[in-house]
Amino acid sequence: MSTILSVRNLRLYFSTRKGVVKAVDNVSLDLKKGETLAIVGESGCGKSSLARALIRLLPRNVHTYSGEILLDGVDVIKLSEEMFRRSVRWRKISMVFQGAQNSLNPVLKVGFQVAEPLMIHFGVSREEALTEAKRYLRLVGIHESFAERYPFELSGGMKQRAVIAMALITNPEIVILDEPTSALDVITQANIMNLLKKLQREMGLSYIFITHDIALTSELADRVAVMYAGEVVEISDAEEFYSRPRHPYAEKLMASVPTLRVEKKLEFIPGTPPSLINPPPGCRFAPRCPYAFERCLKESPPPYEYKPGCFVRCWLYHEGKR
Amino acid sequence: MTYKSAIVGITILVFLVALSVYAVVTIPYDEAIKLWRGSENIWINNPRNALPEWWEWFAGKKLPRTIVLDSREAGFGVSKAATPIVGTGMKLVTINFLFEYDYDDFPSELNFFFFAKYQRDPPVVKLVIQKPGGEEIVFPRFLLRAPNDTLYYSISMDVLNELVGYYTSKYGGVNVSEKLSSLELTFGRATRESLEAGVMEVEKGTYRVRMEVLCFGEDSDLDARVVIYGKVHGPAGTDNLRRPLEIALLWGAPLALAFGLTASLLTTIIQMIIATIGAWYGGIVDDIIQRLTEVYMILPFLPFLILISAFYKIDIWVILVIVIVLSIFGGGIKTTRALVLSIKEYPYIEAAKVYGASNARIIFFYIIPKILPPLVPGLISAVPGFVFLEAALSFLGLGDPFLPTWGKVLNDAYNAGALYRGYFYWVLEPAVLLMLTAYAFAFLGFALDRVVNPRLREM
Amino acid sequence: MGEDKVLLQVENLKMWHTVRRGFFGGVVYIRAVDGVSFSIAPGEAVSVVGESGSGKTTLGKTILRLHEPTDGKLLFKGRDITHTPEKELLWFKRETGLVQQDPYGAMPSFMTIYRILEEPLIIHKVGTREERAEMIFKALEEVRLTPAEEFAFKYPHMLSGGQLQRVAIARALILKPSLVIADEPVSMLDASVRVEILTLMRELQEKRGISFIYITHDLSTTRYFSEWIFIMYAGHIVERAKTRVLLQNPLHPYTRALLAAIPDPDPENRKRFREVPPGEPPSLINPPPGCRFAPRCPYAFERCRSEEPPEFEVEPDHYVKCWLYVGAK
Repeated sequence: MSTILSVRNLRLYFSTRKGVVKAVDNVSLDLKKGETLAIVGESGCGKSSLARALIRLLPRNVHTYSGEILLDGVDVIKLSEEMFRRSVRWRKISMVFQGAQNSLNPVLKVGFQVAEPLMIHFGVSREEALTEAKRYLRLVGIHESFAERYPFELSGGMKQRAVIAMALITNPEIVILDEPTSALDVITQANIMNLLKKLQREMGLSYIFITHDIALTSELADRVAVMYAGEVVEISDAEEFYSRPRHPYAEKLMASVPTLRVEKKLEFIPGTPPSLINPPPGCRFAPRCPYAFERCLKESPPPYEYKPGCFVRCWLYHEGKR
Repeated sequence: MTYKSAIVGITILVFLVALSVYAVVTIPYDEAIKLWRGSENIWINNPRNALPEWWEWFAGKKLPRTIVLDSREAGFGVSKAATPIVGTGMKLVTINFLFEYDYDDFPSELNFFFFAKYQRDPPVVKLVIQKPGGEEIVFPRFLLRAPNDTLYYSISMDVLNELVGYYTSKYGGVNVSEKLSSLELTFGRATRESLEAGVMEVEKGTYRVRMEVLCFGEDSDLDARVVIYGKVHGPAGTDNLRRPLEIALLWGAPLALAFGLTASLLTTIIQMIIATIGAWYGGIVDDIIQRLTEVYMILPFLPFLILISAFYKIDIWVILVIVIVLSIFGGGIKTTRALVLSIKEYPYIEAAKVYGASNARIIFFYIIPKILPPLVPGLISAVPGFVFLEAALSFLGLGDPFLPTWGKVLNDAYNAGALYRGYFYWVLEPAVLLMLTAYAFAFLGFALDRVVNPRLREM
Repeated sequence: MGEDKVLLQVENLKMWHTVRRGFFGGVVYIRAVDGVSFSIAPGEAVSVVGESGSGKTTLGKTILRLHEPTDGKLLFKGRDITHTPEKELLWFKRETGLVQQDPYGAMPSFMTIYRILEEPLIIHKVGTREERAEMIFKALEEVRLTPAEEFAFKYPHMLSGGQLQRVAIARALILKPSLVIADEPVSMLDASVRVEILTLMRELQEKRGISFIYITHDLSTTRYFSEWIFIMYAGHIVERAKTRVLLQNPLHPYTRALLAAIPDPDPENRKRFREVPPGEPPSLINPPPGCRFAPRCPYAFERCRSEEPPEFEVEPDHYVKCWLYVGAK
């Protein structure tokens, strides 16, 4: 399988009154065609900022935006805003936002909103775009009569499907899903996951699936990246990750997730994540890590490839202690 | 507190408060009203419609200040001697006034005030004016008409005729221009050309005024005061009743602030309580309050006030009460109610109900502390509105007729046709003060608004 | 439940919200809780599990008398409090506590932690000022917010979500209640913090013998918390059983669907589709006649669509509201 997206040394810093927030700090990852890369982390770890960095939806107070984002061999970070808008955003990469059900415009009909990306990015006529919109609505399991309805007439699950249709209508190669099922009940969530699986297989999509819910990631993820305090601390294949997460934080995180079918003792992680304005020197997890030693507090560990394509940022592995 | 506008606002405010304190301390309230009401006699020594002294800076020449010399007060330039004439019951009283006049412009007025004591026959006065050059103008003798008599030198026809006559005879056959006033003829450098052209320069130097008075009777006596009225007076000038404007301007500050702040504060507090109670209890109470508010909001505020003021002559504190009563069901209720309605749904209110807090406790300890901060900017920003309201009423002549407020000053100015007559300062000064007040509160209000509403901080 | 001592008894409880349609329009009822019966013994912990719209939150609030029940009976410590006016419920408020979902919204932002904890004591006139101070510091220590003196004088915005939730727990327990209701207490917290808070609540519940109603949508957490699980759907409790029993042997089709829909971290998940019923929960304004889950139920038959099933005790301490089990008692 070929690599469709390659991110190297991505940095996204924001200027705020309190200082420079290093939301995404030197992140590198790869996405292969047709596969799902899950990005997992708790609130404030930078995963949503990473999503925005990839699709270049940046706020005004950006301090630094640097690195390489190679899409089909082209470094799109170097493209001008206009070029990016025309050739990348919603053409090659589209996004389903967090709380998407609330980002539907309440005064426009659903069909029109789903059709909009076609009209804007491809200059397609209104009638044609609406026809396509209806086709995609059917694809995501909504009867096409709903195209004439307004968002408030749709249930939460249906709104989420409509938003997915909106992300797919321009036939992108990559879809970024940022918490696509938060605020949905469990059964609807399972239905949406089924839909995403189906679409991936039928359309050959590649997903970047961002969420805080580790158990949920296993529904789609072929590979998992764990983010902590702006950094990616582990990238592992699914088979490795769910049975044996390598990074101490990932390990502790996995231990804190309650499971339905497996009996296990739950653990929690004492302390809080560090500030993104002045991250500590050395490994950012060290202050809370039960295995930390001297080096951890002083030097920041580079990624260690423990298996082909699988990386951990931890001195324990560099020094062969694990 | 890092907003520049707030700093400007606060500075102006501090200045106004200082002004207010100064005003209240130096001239107590009753004093101020008495002074402002003052009949002509209080201010008789002031020039009418005099410009403020700082105008000199712009005029570029030395403008005359008022000179007052009184024979009852010993001082430089005043001397009085009384000599009885032997063998008769008469006295010869001689009063000499001496003053330096080196201004570039003529005085605005010249009056002689006489204070005589006599039994039966009034004294006879002979007036001689000696100009710096030495020449003397002698006026015909005249009788006092009353013990306190005044010679309005500058407007007296007799005086004018006498002066014209003097120059005509001095410069044989000269045609004294009709444009020349008594003051110009008295204080001007007279030449044949200037007299005919009607354009005179001021003759600077030492002037002497000598009065030779014949008094009849043993205890008769005479005192005189001469006032050479200047064209400037004080930091703010005077009005047509000779009142120094700085009194009204000074006192306008505490009155404006008191009125504005009190009205705003009371209105906000009462509105807050009404809105909170309505929003909290909901149902019929809320409905009644809302409908009442809507009716209130439609009613025209100013016309009502004008109506009331036109029919009843009322003082400022009654106006204040009426304004508050007319405002309490105003628009602020709607916004506060919206705030309270959203706060009502907050989890911490629900938690309070679970642990048993009473409705009253929740309203006063849980809701009101939360809505106070957003109300403060509104409170501050509403002050200038009330200040202008009072000024408008006063300007229309419907306010308190005796209180020296800025609006009243504008009213007086308007009634006297100030702008037509070029007394621009009379209008400018209170207007500037009103504007400053508005700016101060507006800036402060905006800055506070940004502090309280973090979302606005980005702007 | 079989204990002769019953703390809370709920009989056919109904709570309908009234909604006025328009200015002159008719009244419409949202039947949030539509006939719920159960009892809770002292010291017992129960999880009420359901999706949003199932009525679980309304049930909790109704039990606390934040709403007045539309129908049915609510008995606490043997006393009927169904329609008691609020002013006569002060004793009840002292016996109950609430922990809410949003830690920041649940605290008045302008009060210090000390004042927040003092409020219930003041209202119920507990102790002198010194005694109250002691109680407050002890409460903070109990929820592990130490040093207590440091935390007591901070304002809510200075604390993290997890810390604030501890304050909420301290506040709910400070009057030594016999019943505490926790409504989604950890769903707004980070995954790693949830365990901490749940563990703390469980410890305090067991130590003090307080009855707990834990309302959640996350079935996976219930195992660590409660003896009983109640499953709610569209205003009804469709299944009631001891925790272990329900998780191992779910009987109601909805419970089964729920369990089938929840993923565990398993790499095999991505290779297969989950079997889940389509559709969404029904409208609470016009619920379908008969069983409310029937429209989505793979096992539904004629009777399900016309008659609402009663509760059947399929085995001791296991109740199901489903016609499939009509053979049972």
